[in-house]
Amino acid sequence: MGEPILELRDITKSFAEGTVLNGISLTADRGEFITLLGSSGCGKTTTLRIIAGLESCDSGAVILEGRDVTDEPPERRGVNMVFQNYALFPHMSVEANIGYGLKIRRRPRAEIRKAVSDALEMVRLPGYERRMPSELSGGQRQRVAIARAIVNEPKVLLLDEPLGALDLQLRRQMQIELKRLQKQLGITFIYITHDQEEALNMSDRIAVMKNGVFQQIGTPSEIYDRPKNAYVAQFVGSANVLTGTAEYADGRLMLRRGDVRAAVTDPGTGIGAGAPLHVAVRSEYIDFLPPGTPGFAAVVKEKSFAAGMLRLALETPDGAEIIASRHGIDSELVPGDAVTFGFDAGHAVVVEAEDAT
Amino acid sequence: MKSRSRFPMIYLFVITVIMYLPILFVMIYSVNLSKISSVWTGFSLKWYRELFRDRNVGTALWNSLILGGVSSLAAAVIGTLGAIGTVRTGFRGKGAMEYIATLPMMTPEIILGMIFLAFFSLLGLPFGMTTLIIAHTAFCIPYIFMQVKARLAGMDKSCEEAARDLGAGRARVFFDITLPLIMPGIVSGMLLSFAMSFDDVIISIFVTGVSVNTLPILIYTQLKTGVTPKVNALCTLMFLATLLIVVLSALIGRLGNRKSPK
Repeated sequence: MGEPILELRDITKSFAEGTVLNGISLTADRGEFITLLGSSGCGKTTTLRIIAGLESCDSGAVILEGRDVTDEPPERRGVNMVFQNYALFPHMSVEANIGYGLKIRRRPRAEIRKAVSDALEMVRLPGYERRMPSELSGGQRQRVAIARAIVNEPKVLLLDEPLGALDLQLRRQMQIELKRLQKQLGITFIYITHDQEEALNMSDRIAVMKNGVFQQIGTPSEIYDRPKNAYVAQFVGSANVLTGTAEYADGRLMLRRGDVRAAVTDPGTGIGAGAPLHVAVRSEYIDFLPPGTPGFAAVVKEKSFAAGMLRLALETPDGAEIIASRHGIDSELVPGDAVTFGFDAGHAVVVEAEDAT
Repeated sequence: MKSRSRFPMIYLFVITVIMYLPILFVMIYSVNLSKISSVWTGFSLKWYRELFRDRNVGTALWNSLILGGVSSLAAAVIGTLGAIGTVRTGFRGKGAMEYIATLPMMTPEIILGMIFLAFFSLLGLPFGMTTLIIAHTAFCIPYIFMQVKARLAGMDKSCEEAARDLGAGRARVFFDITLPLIMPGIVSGMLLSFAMSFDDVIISIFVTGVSVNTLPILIYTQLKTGVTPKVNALCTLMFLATLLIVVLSALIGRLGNRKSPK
């Protein structure tokens, strides 16, 4: 660990429709599991295709094991990709599919056969050599696609939403298996997903992406507990972001909204009094206060129940939407009720405004 | 409602009868004993026997087979490359190019025949098998072009990308991935081309020399001396052969579709 294997240096890319990547940089260590997390259109697939060499970049460099491969064609990069739709060759058997990379490298036939059967063993599809891709289920095709990539022992394995087409149960199971494979092989994984849960579950580090920029790169706990900006807080933790002005009282940092203020965790970066302040608070930490106590006013807009949690959508007088969630289903509150809410300073994290780009 | 739903069936039946009744008559009269086509005197295969004994028919058949084979093969190469070029690259006037490529299909054959005649005389090419092959190749290209283009458009581009990602160079990707995947399109296009070439009279008459007869030309010239039952026999055989090719082409097309997922 700690030995860099892949480096992206300030990569930009524009298509006719506009700028997709706006100067992204990233260093991946050997054996690391890095996830590019973002909603569709954020540039994550383009990033992956640039690493694979299937797309060229306008400026910047791709460094693999210290070698600049920016202008190398995909077949000479030593990275392999698992495509979103698997891209299995429909006219070749499972064995021919998996062995294709080795066949091109002119490995002896016996060696290829052994490697293919080992790879199938590893993705838990032993004995599937003779099948055609059309005879496989979605999950099995997925495994064959992974086997076809790992059999070449790539320096870096690129995975483009590999579990996107699978149902929830299979996806959970494949998450665990992919993680196991990655540990077993010691290959660096660059993994793309728009599913924050998947990213938090599997990654060593997550790069949250929006509008062709990395909003934050960090370990899952860094991203989850200390989101750098409002977007990361909302996207990864589905947190509420409250906007107001900074104020100090008894040496403590406070968020002021209208005539109400509340203490927040001071990041210690010396925020000036009166400066705009953004505070992220996760829905489970929004507390309802008894009437009469000082707190932020809101009106209950909506009440729903999902995944064992009661979810209340509140609206403040200035139009901000706040989500509060509770375990259980009982709550006397109904839409239209006026409430007062607050939060514990320890759960209120100061974040930056979203990057302008 | 139920009585109304019968109408399409009746309609279909009438159309089929109108289309195939003449062919049926030709088939029936090909096994007629009588020399006069319109009178039925009894079943006989003697016209087929006579047909097979006729030397001219043999050479004409051979010429037609060579012509169809060579020109559909040549058209396959040119048409496939053209289709790949238009689908996989963007250039100005691509739309116009696609339209122009299919234009020969819509041009009246008599016009095409005259164009070829004028063109070959201008070049000073001797009329014969060479000019026949060039002309047939030219009018067969659109059939291949259309079939392969449709096949390419429906093909998943990521398969080719995956092959490159696994270490294959551009040429290797073409032969390992692209070609096998578009092969059903090429083959069904070639069968269609062959059928088109095999029964062409008009263009062939314009561009053939005195020495080379194709089967359709032979039939056409024999008609001048009256329809003998021998011509009926020949027509029957040609119809069956063409039918076989068309059915084969459809089957191959469908087989190819079933093989690819989605």
